[in-house]
Amino acid sequence: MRSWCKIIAIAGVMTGAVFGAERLYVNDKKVPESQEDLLAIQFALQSSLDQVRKATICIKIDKGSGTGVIVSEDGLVLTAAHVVTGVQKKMNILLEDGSEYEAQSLGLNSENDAAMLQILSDKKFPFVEYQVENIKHESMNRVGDWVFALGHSGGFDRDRGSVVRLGRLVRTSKNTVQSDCKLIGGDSGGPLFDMNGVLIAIHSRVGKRLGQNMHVPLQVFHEHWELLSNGEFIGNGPFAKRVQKGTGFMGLAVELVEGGLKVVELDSGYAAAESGVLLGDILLSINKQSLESKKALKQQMKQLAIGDKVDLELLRDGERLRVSFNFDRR
Amino acid sequence: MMRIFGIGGVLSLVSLLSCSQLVLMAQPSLAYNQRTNGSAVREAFVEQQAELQKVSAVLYERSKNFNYGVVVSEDGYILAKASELEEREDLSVRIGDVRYSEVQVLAHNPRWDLALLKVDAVGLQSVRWAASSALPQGSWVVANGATNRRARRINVGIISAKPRAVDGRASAVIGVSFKAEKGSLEIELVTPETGAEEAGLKKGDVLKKFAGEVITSRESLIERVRDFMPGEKVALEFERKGELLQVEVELMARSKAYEENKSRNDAMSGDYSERRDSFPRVMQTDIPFSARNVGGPLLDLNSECVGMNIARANRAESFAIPVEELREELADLLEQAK
Repeated sequence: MRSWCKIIAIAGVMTGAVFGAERLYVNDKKVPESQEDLLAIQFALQSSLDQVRKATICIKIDKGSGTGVIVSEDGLVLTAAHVVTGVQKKMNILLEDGSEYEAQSLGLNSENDAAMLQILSDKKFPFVEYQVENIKHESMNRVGDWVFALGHSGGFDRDRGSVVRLGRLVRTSKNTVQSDCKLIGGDSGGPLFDMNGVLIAIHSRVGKRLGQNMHVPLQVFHEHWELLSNGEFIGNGPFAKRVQKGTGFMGLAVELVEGGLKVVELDSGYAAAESGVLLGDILLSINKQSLESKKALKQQMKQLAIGDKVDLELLRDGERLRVSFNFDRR
Repeated sequence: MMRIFGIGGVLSLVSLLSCSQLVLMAQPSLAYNQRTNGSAVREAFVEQQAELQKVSAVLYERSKNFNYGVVVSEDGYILAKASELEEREDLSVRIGDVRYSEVQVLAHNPRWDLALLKVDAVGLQSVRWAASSALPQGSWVVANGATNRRARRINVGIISAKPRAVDGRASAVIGVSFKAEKGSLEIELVTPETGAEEAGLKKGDVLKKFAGEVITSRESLIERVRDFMPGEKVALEFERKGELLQVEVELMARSKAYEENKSRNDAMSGDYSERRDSFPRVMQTDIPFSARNVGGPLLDLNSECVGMNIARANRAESFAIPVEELREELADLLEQAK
């Protein structure tokens, strides 16, 4: 909720101070015409590069990595949905200097590849300013504008740092911006800036051609800002899949006996058998919920999704044992 | 260093692109000639292009240009990317409008992947060396693009990351694999078309020394090989039927000796240089080279040479040898060539 207030506050400033910043004059030429024009582009980029780079982070999650950009002092980060893959997921982030923090994904828009995450720290973080109405507004970004992309291409490399690429806006639409800033894996979720160092979009995907680099405009984040900051999963893909609960499978059948549920069938090759459950074991509890009926087990299974951790407590030859595994796909 | 690759499958991302394009098609798009490397934008770099026309050498194998070189003297010395010269036949060089069909390869430096070439010429224009390679990130840089007989196109970009060493994927190999038994140095298989095969190593040979040092384990061998670059020749001692024998083996790039599965990012990248890592120090640019367009000078906006484009690494990253190291290695190569 705090974040939502923030965007309104910033939006108020946007029409004034931030967007009062001169629009780079070369943007209004078809192409740079002289060395002077080239130097103007270079100067504009270099004037904001160091600042915005500090807010550009590497996101380490599962076995991969992506990029994100901090947009508030308390560590709210914008990134791509396909980077975080789900809501309320724990991950780690790295700042440019290599310092590492824990973070948790908030909401995501699985249709437009937008996501938010929160760095879990009381520290004050460097952040960038952003604009939300880059498509509609006359004075804002247009096709042909010079832009630059930052990202941790191919993963974090402290000696190299994040990688900057210069390009132009090739196409814009409500949900997608295309530029010729060349992106590669690892850049996903990273920031695209205009020549005033204002965040205008988040990297999403590429095509086979070098000029096909697709970004999610800030407008897409703005539309659902509250849902995103409240941890909602929006849409049904393709950039992230909803976790289907109740589809998990352990590979065993039980019968009610005194004290618990007796394992009467066991499918070899599935999680329960693989992790050491034996025929005849009596299940006492699952994830600390006691199992006094088959219904109780069913209820617990409904709460769990594929990949979730399962802790079983069981009785074997009068001895209490614990077994843990992850829920299998059927 | 170990690299972490991005998230999500390329293929799915590429196919998704087609749907997003449908949406985008309705919008006016930026004309190709106005894109960052479009012809209309390149016109602003007319001075740098004129310089590249004179100070870059186009390298040909028969009638096909395969790479560039840097003209470093008035009398025809040229720096080129060594690994691109391997197994080339019928080399020739074009500088400006003149084609030189006699090309001598005088010296090599495997570590930097440099070669010194010489053509019989007078009155060439050498690159003008910049005082330093330390351009701030975001600075424009200009290099060779495609070429035709008359004109060199240019390829523009910016300095895009910190200069640094680029580690390899233990890139040099001998071309043998050992018996499965733990610690055995007995050769099980000699990979065809490698230095090992050429040197006559055979199944059953047991390695004893590598580059003069006694090898006691596979780990110690791997450690030693890591100090060498593909293309370097190394003395090997081995035992065959109770007899100690010695050969000289030319090390080969791992990627060349073994078919490697492409990483996701490489599959995304299309064209990249075969040798693109294991450099002691490189500058990084976002110039969208094809592999055949590297090897030439990297110019700043003053048309001074700040480095030599040594590799197209991937879709987003290109490397150049900084002018400081380039000049040092050039002096060394000229010394070697004497």
